Amino acid sequence: MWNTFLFAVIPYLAVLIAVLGGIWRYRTDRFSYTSQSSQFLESRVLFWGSNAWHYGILLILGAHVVAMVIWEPWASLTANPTRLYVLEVIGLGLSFLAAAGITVLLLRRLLVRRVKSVTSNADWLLLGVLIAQVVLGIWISLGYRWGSEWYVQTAVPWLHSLFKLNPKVDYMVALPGIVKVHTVLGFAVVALFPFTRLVHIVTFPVTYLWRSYQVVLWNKRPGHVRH
Amino acid sequence: MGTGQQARVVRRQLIGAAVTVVLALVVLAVVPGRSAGAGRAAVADPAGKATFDSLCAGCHTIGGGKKVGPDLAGLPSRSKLEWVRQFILVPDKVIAAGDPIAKRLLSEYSNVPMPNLGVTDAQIGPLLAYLDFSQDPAITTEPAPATTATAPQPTVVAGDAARGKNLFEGGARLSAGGPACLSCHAVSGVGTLGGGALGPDLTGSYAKYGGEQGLSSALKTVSFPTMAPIFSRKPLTSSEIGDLAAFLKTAPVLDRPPGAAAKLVGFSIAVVGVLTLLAMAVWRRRLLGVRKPLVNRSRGK
Repeated sequence: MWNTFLFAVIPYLAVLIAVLGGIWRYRTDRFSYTSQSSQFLESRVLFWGSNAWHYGILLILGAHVVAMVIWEPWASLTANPTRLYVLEVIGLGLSFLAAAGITVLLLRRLLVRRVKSVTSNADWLLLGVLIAQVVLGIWISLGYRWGSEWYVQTAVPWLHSLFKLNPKVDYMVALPGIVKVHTVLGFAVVALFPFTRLVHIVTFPVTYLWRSYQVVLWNKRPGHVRH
Repeated sequence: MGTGQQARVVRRQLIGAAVTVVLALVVLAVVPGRSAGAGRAAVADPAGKATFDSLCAGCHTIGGGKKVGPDLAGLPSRSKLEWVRQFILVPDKVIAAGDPIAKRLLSEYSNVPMPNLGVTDAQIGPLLAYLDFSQDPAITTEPAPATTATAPQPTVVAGDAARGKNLFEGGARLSAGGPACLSCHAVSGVGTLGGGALGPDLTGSYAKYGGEQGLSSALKTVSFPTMAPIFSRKPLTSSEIGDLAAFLKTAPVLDRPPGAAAKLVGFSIAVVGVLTLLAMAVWRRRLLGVRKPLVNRSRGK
């Protein structure tokens, strides 16, 4: 019963909230589809925090998606122990990078007064959930090795069953509690999408990856900023 | 009291003590022991002891305390005969049917289910007798009728340890597409960074499951909660089971090098270092060029 709620109800509920909430926000507050850049307020720390976070988390998230979409080639890739170890080391390295990045971003928001003053409650909530997700992910990859292989045999068939509208929760029920929390929290992030700065994901900022860098700065010394 | 009288008293006491000792020995010889294996073996069919030693002793004791499974001393006082019979014969079916006692045992013993050991009709009677169900009139050491829902004796295929190691590590894929054991399990002598940690370390599992027969049954029925949904759809073949059992037989000692997780963290931190250096190299000119004066001005230089 409890597992059915966690793995057959929450995922659909989260996606429903994300889609309907996203449409509602787009229709009522279109210009808020942004990451609300704070680069004007502080840029030097942001550079290291944001790049480490985004490159780390996008590649980790990408690996989760790729393994779900092309599970057979992925299973062949991880079948060899050497390839498995290399993949796990790179994955854990990237998650450390993401963790370092989001820690820098958290400290920036806490310690830079100008940035702190523009941080909403939704930002704090999202930051907390994302930090929890990264910590749980690292915990799982270290404590329940080798996730890149068993993920394809447990969570992936379950995710496929969700797409087929025939949830097979038996794949998930026996997994350790920490894996269940990581999974459910992942769908919580999906549900938070329309209510937070996460909406910037769908503004397709893909050109960020290869465009020339930009330096955002004041054209004259900023005066005193009111808080 | 005179000397003769004292001697008679002493003689009576000696005779009384001797009679008591003899009576005690007679009682011990006649009444079956309920906790000691020696007394049990004296009255039970030796075949029951043989079955227990080969199939059950890996996980259970009788009066020796808990192992992988419960101590079976005094089992008749807390379990019904028919339930025990069914649970020995078809534990996977009893668990799958959601039996409350089986569920409680499962949670009590770290979710390690009793594997289907392929106990035969000929073995079950003596085994139950050995477990002290002998005074129950329902017990018979004769084989039960063929209609009894007994699991077929699993065929144990003689395997090849080298092939089994290859299957364990994933060098050879399992024919039905199941994951390599290494994904979730460690075992002594496998892999630079060791095996997985989602499932238990399988070092010593050969003895734990009572040798070839028990281990083969466990791999055939795969009733472990995490593995069941995967391997019920992607079952192991008989030859794969034989090879894996042969390999696990060769890994009886826990000599797995410690610190696999520490090594993993070390390598991963090195990856972060390389990526950071790469970032610094790629973006080293980001504040130079035409923007430099603007950057300096914004910093008040």
